[in-house]
Amino acid sequence: MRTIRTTLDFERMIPDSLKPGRFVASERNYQKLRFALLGAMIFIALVPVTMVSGLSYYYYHNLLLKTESEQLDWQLDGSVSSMQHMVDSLRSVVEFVAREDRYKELVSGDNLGKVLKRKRDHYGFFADLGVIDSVGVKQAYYGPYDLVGKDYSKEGWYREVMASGVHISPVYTGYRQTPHFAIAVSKIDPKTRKSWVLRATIDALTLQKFVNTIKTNAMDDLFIVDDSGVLQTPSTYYGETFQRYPQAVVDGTHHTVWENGERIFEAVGKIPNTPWSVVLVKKHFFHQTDWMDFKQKLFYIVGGSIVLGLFIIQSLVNYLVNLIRRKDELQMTMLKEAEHNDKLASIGRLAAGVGHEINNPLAIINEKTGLIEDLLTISSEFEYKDTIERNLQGINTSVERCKAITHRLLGFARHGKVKTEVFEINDLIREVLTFLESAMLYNRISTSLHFGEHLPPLKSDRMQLQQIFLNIINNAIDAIGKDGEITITTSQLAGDVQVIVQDNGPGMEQEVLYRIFEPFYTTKDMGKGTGLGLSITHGLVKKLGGDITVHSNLGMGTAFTITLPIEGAAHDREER
Amino acid sequence: MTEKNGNGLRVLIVDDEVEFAATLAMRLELRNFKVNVAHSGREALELLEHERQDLLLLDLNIPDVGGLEVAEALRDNEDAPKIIVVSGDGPAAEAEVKLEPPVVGYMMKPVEFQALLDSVRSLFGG
Repeated sequence: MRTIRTTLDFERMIPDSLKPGRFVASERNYQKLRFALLGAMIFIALVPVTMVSGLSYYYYHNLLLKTESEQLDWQLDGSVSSMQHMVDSLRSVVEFVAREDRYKELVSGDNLGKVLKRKRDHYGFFADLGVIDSVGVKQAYYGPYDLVGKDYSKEGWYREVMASGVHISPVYTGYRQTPHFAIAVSKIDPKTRKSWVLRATIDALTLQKFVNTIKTNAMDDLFIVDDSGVLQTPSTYYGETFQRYPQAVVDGTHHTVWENGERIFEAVGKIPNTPWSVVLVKKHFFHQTDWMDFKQKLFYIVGGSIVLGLFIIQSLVNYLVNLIRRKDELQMTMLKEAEHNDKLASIGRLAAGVGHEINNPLAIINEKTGLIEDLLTISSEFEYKDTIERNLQGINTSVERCKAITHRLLGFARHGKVKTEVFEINDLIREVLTFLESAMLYNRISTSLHFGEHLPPLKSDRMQLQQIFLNIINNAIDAIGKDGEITITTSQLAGDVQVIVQDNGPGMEQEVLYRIFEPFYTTKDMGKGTGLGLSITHGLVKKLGGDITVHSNLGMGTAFTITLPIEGAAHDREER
Repeated sequence: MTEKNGNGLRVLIVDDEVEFAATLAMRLELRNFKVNVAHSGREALELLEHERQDLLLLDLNIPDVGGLEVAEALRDNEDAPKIIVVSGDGPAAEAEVKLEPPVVGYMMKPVEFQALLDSVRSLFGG
C-alpha cells in the first residue's frame, strides 16, 4: 500500500493560481469579454451604417418629393393655362355672336336659329341660344325647349352678367337630362342704350374634350371641379360628373393618403374668370422605378454591409478573444512554472539551512560517542559495559542515518561549483546503466535505448549528470517494481540535448505530479525514500542550466524529459 | 588504545564548535597526538607563528579568517602543516576545496574517525 506522505506542510505555499477551478471561472470572463467586444464593435460598425442609410433615405425621399411637387406645379400651371385658353376661346365665340348692335337682329324672326345652326357647323357643342332683354325677360330662344318670355331677372347669374359683362355657369342638368353649362355675355345696344344678354348653353362634353386634350400619361387623373367641389368632368378616382370631390377646393399641392394606403399628390389650380378649378392627381413616386430602385439598392447595400460587418466582427472577436486567452494561458503557465521554481528554490534554501543546523550537533554527538567508545576500550570490565557498548553502537547507526539525510539536505546549498568537461551524453547514460545493471536484472526490467546519432558532445558537469541520471533511472526502477521496461531516448533540439527516460510503471496522479520535485515529498513506503532524490535532481539540472519536466499517465507510465544546453550553463538560472 | 599511532604528531584543530573541537582533541590525545585547539582563523594563524604543527584539521566556516583563507595563507610556507579540511557543509562543498598542498584531504562532519586515522597514517607513515 503506497501512501502519500509529506514531512512538512507545504500546502499553504501553493499560490491561488495553481489551485484547480481557476480556469473554470475565467471561462466566464472570456465569454463576457466576447460579448462586450461583440456589442461594442457591432454598435460602432452598425450605428454609422444605419445613420448614413437613414439619412440617404430621408434626403433622397425629400428630394424626390420636391422634384415631384415642382413637376406637378409645372404641369398644373400648363393645364390651367390651357384650360383658360380654351374657355376663353369659347367665350370669344359667344362674344362674337353677341355683337352690341345685333340685339334687334337676333330677337327678330328665327335669326337666332340660323345663327345657332351656323355656329353648330363650326362648333358642334352649342345646345341652345337665348337672348334676354334689359329687364330679364327672354326675348328670343332657339333650342329644344320653349323658353321665350321666361323672366330671369331674379337669377343670380343674370345679375352677375349684367354687372360684370360675362358669366360662366358650373355644369348643371337643368331641363335637359344631359350635363351642360352656360356662357352668358351682356352687351349694351348702342341705339337704345339698353343692356341685353346672350346666353349660350354648351354641352359639358366640351369641357371633357378640353380636359382630354391636355391630359398626358404623366398624370394619373385630371378633372375639373366647381368652387363647391362638384365634379364637372368625370374623374378616374372620384367618379362621374356631379359626384363630389372629397377635398376642399384650395389652390396648391396637397398630399393625400387614401384609405387603401396609397399616397397621392393632388394639385388644384383655379381657372381665372370661371367657376372651375383644375385638379391634377398623381400617385406618389413610391410606386415609381427610381424610388423602388433606390430602395432596393439601399436595402442590398445596407443589408450586405450589416451581414458582412457581422461576419467580420464575429471572426475578429473570436480571433481576439482566442488570442487573449492563449496569451493568458501562456502567461499563466509561465507564472506557474516561475512560482513552482521559486518555491522549489526557497524550499531548497530552507532544506540546506536545516541540514547545516543539524549536521553540526550531529558531528558533536558522533565525536562524543566515539570518545565514550575510546574510553570504554581502555577501561576495565564493569557491570553494564556490554550494554553501554551496544547502545553506543545504536547511537552510531542513528548518526549514520541522520548523516545521510543531512548530507543530502546540504546538497541544496548552492556553493557547489560546476566542473565542466566535454563528453558524449550517450556514453554517460550507458555508464550509469552499468551501475544499475544488477538492480534491473534482479527486478526483471529491460532497457530500450533510442540514442540519437551524431549528437554533439556535451559541455557540462559529468559527475553531477551521472548523479542526475542515476536518480531518475533509479526512480524509474522503483516505479516499475518488477517486470517492466525503461525506454531512454536522446536527441538534439536546437542548442539543447534532450533525454527522455520513460518507464511503463503505474504512472502518477496529477496531484503527485505537481509536487514531485518538492523536497520530502515521497510516495514510497516509510523508510524507503527520503523524498529528496528528485528535488535534488531538479536543483542539479537547473544548476547545469537545463530543465526537467515530467509527464505521466495513470496506468501507462511516467516520462522524465531532461533538457541540457550543449554549451553548458550560461549562468546559474536558479540564482535569484 | 594501546596502539600509539599518534607518535607525538602535533595536530591543530581549527573549529568554532567548541564541543566538537574539544571532544575530537581528547580522542586524538588518547592516541598519543599532541593536540592544540583554535576557535577562529586568526587564532590558528597566531598559534602557528609560535608553534610548528604537523597537521591542521581545518573547518571552513570559522570566524575572522575563513578556512579557505587560512589554507591560502599557508600555501607558500615551507614549514606549513599539512591540512585536512573537516567541513560541515556536506558533499557539495567538496568541489570548492582545491586538493593541492598544503591541503591534502577533505572530510565531512560527522567525521568517520577511523578514516581520519587512516589518512593520517598514510600521510605521515607508521
